[in-house]
Amino acid sequence: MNTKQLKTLYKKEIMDVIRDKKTILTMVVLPVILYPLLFLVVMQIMTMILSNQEEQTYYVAYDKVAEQDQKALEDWIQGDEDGYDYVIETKTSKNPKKDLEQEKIDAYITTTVTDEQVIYEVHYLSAVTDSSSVSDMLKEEITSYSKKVAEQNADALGLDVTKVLYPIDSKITDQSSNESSMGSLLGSFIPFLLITGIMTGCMYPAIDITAGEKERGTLETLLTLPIGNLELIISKFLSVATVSIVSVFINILSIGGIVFYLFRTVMSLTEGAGAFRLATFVPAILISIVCVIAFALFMSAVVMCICAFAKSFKEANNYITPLTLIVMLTAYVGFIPNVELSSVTALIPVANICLLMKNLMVFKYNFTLILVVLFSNIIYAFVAVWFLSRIYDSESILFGESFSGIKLFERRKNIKKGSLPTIQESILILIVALLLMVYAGGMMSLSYPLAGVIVPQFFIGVLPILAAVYIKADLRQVFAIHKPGVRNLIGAVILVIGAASASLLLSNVLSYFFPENSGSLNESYLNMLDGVPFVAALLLIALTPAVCEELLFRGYMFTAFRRKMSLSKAILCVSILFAISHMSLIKILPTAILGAALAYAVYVSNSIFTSSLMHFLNNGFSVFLLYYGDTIPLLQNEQAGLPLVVCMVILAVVCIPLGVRLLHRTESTQ
Amino acid sequence: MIEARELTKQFVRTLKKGKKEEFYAVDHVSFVAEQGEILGILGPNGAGKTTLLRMLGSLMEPTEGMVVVTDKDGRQMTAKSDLKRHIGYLSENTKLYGRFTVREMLAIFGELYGFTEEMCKEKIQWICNLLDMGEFIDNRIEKLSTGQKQRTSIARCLIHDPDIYIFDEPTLGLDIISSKAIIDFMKQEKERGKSVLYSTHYMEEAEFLCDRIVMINKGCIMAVGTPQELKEQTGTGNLRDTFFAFMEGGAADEHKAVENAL
Repeated sequence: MNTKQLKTLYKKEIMDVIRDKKTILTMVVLPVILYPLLFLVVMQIMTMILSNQEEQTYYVAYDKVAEQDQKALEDWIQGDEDGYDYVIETKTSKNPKKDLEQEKIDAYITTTVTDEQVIYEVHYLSAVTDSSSVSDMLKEEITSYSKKVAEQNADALGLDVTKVLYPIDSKITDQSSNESSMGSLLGSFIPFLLITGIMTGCMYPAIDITAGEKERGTLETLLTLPIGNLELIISKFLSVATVSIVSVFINILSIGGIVFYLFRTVMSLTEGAGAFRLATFVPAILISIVCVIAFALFMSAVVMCICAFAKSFKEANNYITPLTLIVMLTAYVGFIPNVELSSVTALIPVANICLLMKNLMVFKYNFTLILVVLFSNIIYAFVAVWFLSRIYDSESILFGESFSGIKLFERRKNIKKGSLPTIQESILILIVALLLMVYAGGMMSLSYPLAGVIVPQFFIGVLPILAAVYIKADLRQVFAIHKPGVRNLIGAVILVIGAASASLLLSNVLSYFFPENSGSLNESYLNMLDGVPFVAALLLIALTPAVCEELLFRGYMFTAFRRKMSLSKAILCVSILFAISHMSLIKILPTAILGAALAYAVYVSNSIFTSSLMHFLNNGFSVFLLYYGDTIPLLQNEQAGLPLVVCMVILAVVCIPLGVRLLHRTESTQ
Repeated sequence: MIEARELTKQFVRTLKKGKKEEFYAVDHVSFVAEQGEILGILGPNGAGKTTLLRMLGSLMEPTEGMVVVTDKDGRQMTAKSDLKRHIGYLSENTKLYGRFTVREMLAIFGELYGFTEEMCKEKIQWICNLLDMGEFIDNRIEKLSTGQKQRTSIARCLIHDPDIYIFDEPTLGLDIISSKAIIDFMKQEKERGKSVLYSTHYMEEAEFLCDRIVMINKGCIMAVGTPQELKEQTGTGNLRDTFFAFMEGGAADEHKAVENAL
């Protein structure tokens, strides 16, 4: 390597990047001004809400409450010296229920009186902030009043108040040091902020130095020089890494400033309740800095790899968006309880840095894991740089046509009619659908288990249709909406019997080797379908996926892959993506086999209906077994294992070739 | 002197249904550009001019064949970095670094050609006087006018004082004054004994400027010769008609024409 050239190139890249206003903006302005500003605004709003609440006067009405009970409580509320600033005033009301609804009063109280007890009942509106806060206050007041009266009564009877009323009490004491409780608080969000900071810090220089240079047309000028590819890549990489590391430090300083301020405020509020030594954090901070630098190197290289495919700033921005999403979601791991740094998580990029810093903040030093995190990041960085050098060696990327883009990011009026989907688009749709599935589906399934099945399927089905409409594609062509023909349908049915048998065989073999993973799925389905009639279950588990999943996988995605790949490659890729998106490691191979059969059927018959039918039959059979499996004596017979296996082997061997033979090529109608 | 030996570039294009097709952007092209000669490369859009010149400038790797440069002392070289040191390459795609001043950019390029700081300063001073760039040499390039940028581009090619210039459509889209600057520069360098390889589709410009012309179409040479020779061969009055005559001659006469020319 020519170090003199490297030095000159590095100087050139740094100068070029630093003179770009956007870099300065993301590197300096964002962390130095925006973070503290954001923080101050949030603080201000919080104190405003708090002080508002404290000084407010709340109005409470009493509804048919005996005079002495009302007066007693009023006196207690008035006379109580509890240090709060709020005022609770009594307001007479003829129709308290109506007044509460119209928010003329914040709550009203009724009583139920028995011989032993007076029960005060507070009526409030949980949806109204003032009403819900006054209800809490009233509850507190009534409890303390009740305690007071109880004590008085006990005393009057000549009893030992403590012994009778409070023979047992509870107390909790936090044994963690002030530093570690502070650390665990910071450990969850500081890694997230830092990773976002690194990401934004290296994004603009990376785009500028790769796609930006191509767009401005200076790359070809640079290539006329007698410089090596290695020097070029390394100088570019080092420049981006330098900028991102500098921006990390600015980030750390800015966050550090905020934390220090926060900590001073807390100290002054608690009047130095615990001595707090910042020095305890020094080793943690030093190790974090080393690891964060390694991470910045890795991130810079990855971002540059992606940007290198782009021809322009805008295009590079589009490619980076999904990466940002993935990095942010992974960085979110710090907020999830119970996910700890282990020998496995230490190897996952992004997550390892997050978890390591979380550990360091609470003074857990596991030096083996620290080294694993450090070296895995350095190794990933090397791999990414190597990949980058390959990209920069490729003439088709340097001089060639634009890397076939994602039309979804373009304006619709610029898209030509009859466009066809691209692989990138279909994968983007899959990722978005999966994310929606995890978040929206997960949330729904908490309250409505069945909706947890329907909602994700809905996304899987609707997103490709929306995308196809957006790119002005011919829907019949993209989704292969053509008449299948009777012969093809029969072939499809026979093929799916064979493929399902093969898939079932394989999954049985796999569950023999990995027994801990099997069966759980069936149980969860059973729980979910508890009380659902068979026909409804059939619609849910069989028909919906047969429509929605086919639209995405055998429709949009298969069309996209077929445009760029040979038949076998396209079937392979789509089936694997189909299997992966079922999110069960052990089911990947069996599902892929089914996926391949479905894709083949669509290819040959040129009709999505064949694969829909196959998908419906396969899932429907599972539902049938789930409901009526125990009524079939053969399946209950312990001895029947071997004959069943033989039966499935025969079905697979006979039906697959027969189905393939029956399916015949229908030429596209166009 | 620069020589193209059987230069070939094959590209793969993706057709429908994932089928790939190989095609020749440049198909076994050989010629020599002598010292003190302006050699014009003529051809329609998509003929393979840019690919050919990129290979000659070592920006692209040929699929087959090689580029040989012979320096004043008769030494032959083929290594990429040696070739680049002897070639000044200028095309519509070689833009300038807008965020640098002219002086900064020339200094960086000088250093990358391996000159010391002192040498760079001397060379910049020499070029500054030669191209009369004194009034804007310390301005940022993005603030310069088109003409000033053009002169800076020439200065960029000149910084290592190469023996060979490769200009890919240098006058495309320029006004009369700016293109005159380029043309004057090419003539002047020819007088200094340099080889100038130059592609264009302005026939008139080529006719009065070039010592010899290589006509290419679809990656193949159709004809080689002085403008006069080519016109006589086809019996046409000007180069534009000559060009069309060769185009219509097509593939059948192509081989013969090349043979005649050689």
